[in-house]
Amino acid sequence: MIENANVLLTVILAVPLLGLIFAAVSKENAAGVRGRNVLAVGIFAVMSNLVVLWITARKTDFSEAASRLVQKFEWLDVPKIELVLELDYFSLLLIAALHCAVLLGLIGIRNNTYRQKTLVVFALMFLEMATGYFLASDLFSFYIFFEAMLLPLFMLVGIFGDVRRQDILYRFFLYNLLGAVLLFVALCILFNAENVAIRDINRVVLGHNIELLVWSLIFIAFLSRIPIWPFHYWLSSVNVNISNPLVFIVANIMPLTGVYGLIRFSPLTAPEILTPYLLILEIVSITTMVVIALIGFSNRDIQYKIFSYMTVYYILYLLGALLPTDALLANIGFSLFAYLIIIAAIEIVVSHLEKERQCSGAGECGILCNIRRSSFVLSFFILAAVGLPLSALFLNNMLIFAGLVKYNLKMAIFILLAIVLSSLSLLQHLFYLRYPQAESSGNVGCVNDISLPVFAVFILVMLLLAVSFVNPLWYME
Amino acid sequence: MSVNFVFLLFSAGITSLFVPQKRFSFLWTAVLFAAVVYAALSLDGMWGNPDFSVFWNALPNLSVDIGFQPSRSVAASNGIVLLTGLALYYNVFSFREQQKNVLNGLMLINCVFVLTAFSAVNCIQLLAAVCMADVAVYMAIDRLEAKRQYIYGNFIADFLLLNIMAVILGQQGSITVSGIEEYSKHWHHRDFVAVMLLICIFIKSGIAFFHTAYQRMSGLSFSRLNFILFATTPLMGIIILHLLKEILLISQYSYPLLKTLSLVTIVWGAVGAVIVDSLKRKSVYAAMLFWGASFAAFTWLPVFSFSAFFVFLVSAFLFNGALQLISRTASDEVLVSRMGGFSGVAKTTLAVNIVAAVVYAGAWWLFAGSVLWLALSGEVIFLAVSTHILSEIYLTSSKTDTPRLKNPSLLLFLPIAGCAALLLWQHADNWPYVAGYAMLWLAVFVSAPLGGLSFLYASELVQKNDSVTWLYNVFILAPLQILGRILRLTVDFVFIERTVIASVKNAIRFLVFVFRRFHSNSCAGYAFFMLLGVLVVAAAYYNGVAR
Repeated sequence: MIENANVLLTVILAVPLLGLIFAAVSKENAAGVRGRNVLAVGIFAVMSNLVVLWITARKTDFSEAASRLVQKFEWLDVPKIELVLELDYFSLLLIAALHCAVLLGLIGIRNNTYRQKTLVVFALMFLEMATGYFLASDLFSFYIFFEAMLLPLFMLVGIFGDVRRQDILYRFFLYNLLGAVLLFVALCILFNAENVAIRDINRVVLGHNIELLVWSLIFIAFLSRIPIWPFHYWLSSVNVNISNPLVFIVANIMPLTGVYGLIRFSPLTAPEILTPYLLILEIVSITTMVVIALIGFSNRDIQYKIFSYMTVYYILYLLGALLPTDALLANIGFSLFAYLIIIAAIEIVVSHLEKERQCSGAGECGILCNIRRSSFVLSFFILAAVGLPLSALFLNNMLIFAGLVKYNLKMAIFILLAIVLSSLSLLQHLFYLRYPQAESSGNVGCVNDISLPVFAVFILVMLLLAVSFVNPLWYME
Repeated sequence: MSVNFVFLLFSAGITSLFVPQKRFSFLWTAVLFAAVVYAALSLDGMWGNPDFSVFWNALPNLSVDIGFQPSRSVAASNGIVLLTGLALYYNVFSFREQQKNVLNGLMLINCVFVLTAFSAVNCIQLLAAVCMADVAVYMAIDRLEAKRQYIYGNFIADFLLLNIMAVILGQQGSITVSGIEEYSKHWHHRDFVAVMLLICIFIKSGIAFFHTAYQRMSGLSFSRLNFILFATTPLMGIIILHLLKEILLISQYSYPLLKTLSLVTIVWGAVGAVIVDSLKRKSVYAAMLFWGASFAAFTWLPVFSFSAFFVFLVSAFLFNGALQLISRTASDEVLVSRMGGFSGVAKTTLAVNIVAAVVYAGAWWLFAGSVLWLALSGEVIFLAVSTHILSEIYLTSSKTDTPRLKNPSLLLFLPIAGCAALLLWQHADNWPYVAGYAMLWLAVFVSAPLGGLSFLYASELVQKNDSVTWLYNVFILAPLQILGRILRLTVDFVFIERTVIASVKNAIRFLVFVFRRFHSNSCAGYAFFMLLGVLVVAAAYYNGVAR
């Protein structure tokens, strides 16, 4: 243990902020010029924070489930408000995965010269807010970061999301804002009753109806960020239009914030009054999984397929978290770590292929036959995504399935069906691209492969995933 | 010791993937053979060694040990290593193989995973080994359509296996293979688990109705094809069955289903091997026949001996290897309809083919002899299939240019000769039976009773028929896709977009309209807002002050 390791929490929160400031004051490249000034700052900031996270993991003993780093900041005396940051291994894994995903996204936009500075600045702002959200342990800072994430997200989707229909964009923002307002109301009521940390929230004594109201608001607030029916529509509408890989990755981290919020607030801290409603939530969740998996299976758009896959897995983790045990939390954390990285990597390669396909005029079929590095990388990540033993997803998902099967076999069967369908959708795409019919179209040979440095980065990511399969706790002493 | 040779094989395999294809090929081949020979010698020295296990820190909240159990696995491990050695041998002498070093490496990696699966002490070791072997085989398949079918099928099979483990773990909290028996006695969802296991095994081993992935592989080179058909995923199928067989006992439907499908597979494989034209497709059907027979033996034999099974497996592999030699003899021609009259030129190849067929039949007798009807019916089917294939090639009138025919290198005959010598030596006491069977085989071969079926080679309906894939497409894939489109149209578009969102939008528009009307400079507007204010005050009073 290092002296006062808690200070590392401030560093983890400060590094993206510093990166954001440096990126904001960096000189922007002239239009069309492929300089990487701002991008280099962004990548350096994210990598620096990954190093800080690694040091934190090495220097902290997370062997006890309850062990965590804590740092407190006094804000107001009257009313007494303290901002509290806490880091346990679950948050650590999510923050690390978030950084890896954003890092891959930044690498994915290296050739994108359109308003790169704005893109990097808002991406770092989102990273800052999301990191703060995963560290926040008191009601105030939790709400502040939950709400503050919306600003960079809205700007990113609005400027770079290619969403042509403005009403979709407004709807997207309004749904998220509505969720944030509901959470605000709930947290105000809770704070009015007693100012406690999130993990002690079950200590707050409320009347029956008020308790029901507060928890309903909390659940709806978080569910509004997860693509559960009927909230899935806004996210799917936005996702299918986003062609910028970094924006896609950021937009798809939003459901994670919903899942994380529910994990932090429930199930063990949620009152018994919610039990019958949880059953309804489970049924709706599973129905959504099956419906979205079926739609993804029949849809030819790869963005929708990825969205479908992500939704199914987010809901799987949510259902795992809703089980009346916290034994699976570690597995959910390790799975999410691999899952976010895999999705980010797939999105980068798919975005590259799509761009090349449009630039070269090549048909949708047969591209991968001629580009070996992209083919290898995409195959690896899709095989890892569908659950073959190439990452931590494999065994940890098995334990989550075991938990779900143990509690309700019939529901588990539907979950498994949805997972199979969404995985097959990804595999479909792999071979849809590989199918050699259009090799004779002539243009296919002109398609550019991913560059060697980017390939090297992907190889490192593959090694990281492989290590997470062999020993998920490799980074700890 | 066991860890040493597994590590050696694995590192040799991994290194082989990165060795330049056109450099050091001879040297690297020698290194690989040395690794395999060392592994085989190590295995022999392992009899009586204690079981080995090591803690695997794979899961934060579940203790997993991986290990090797010489007491259980050495006899079979010898067979696995021998089979890998033979596949390696044929690959080295396959001049058509472009990526020889990569395939050699994958063979060794696959061997390690098969050994790991066979020695599994817990379900996670078994599951990880099976799935990793699938990744290796996926890499070894170099035809896109075959790759696609393979990964679809095996992903589902692996997923089913994973869920079997999840059910057992969830119910029992234990993951040891020895604990499966305990599960079968006490726990629920038995039919569900048994059905999942059967489907997994059927897909893995290419049993009838689940065999389409292997049918697509006829575009692969012969050495690659034979390696995949015998030493990889199908073998994993029977290993899974062997390790988890207790699960099948818990459902009354599982063994009848297994028996029925194994018989159907035998018939399907035999018929396919007779009627298809391509020698590679014949090899695939011959493999199907072999796996059907193996599953039949598993269900009917009172004791399933893995030593005898591996003798049978190696014989089947060599029989397919002998078919490969025919193609080599005919300058890589694979269509039987273009062959014929080979007996005049390729006498050595013919002799080797006959020896391979007799060895194959002999191995079946050795394997299944304790159940007479099974052994006899198997012999009759093997006799019919092997004599038909060979008589079509060697005895019918010549349809190709004789100068193109050339006996391949004698080196390729060595494994078959060696195996035949070994079997004959083991069964020296039974030489009259062996000689009798060989005479009978020759008589049927010369008389070619199924020769009349050769007209089917010209039938497009027979040669291009893929009814199973059609059935899957029509009854599974198409309905799922149609359902997905309907849901997209109804749930997303009609219900949410056109109903919910449009209704909310209209409702808000109506409210705005109403409020605008009231918020006008009129008496009604004044009255409405005054009334609204009074109501708010009254509500506040009764809820606050009055209480």
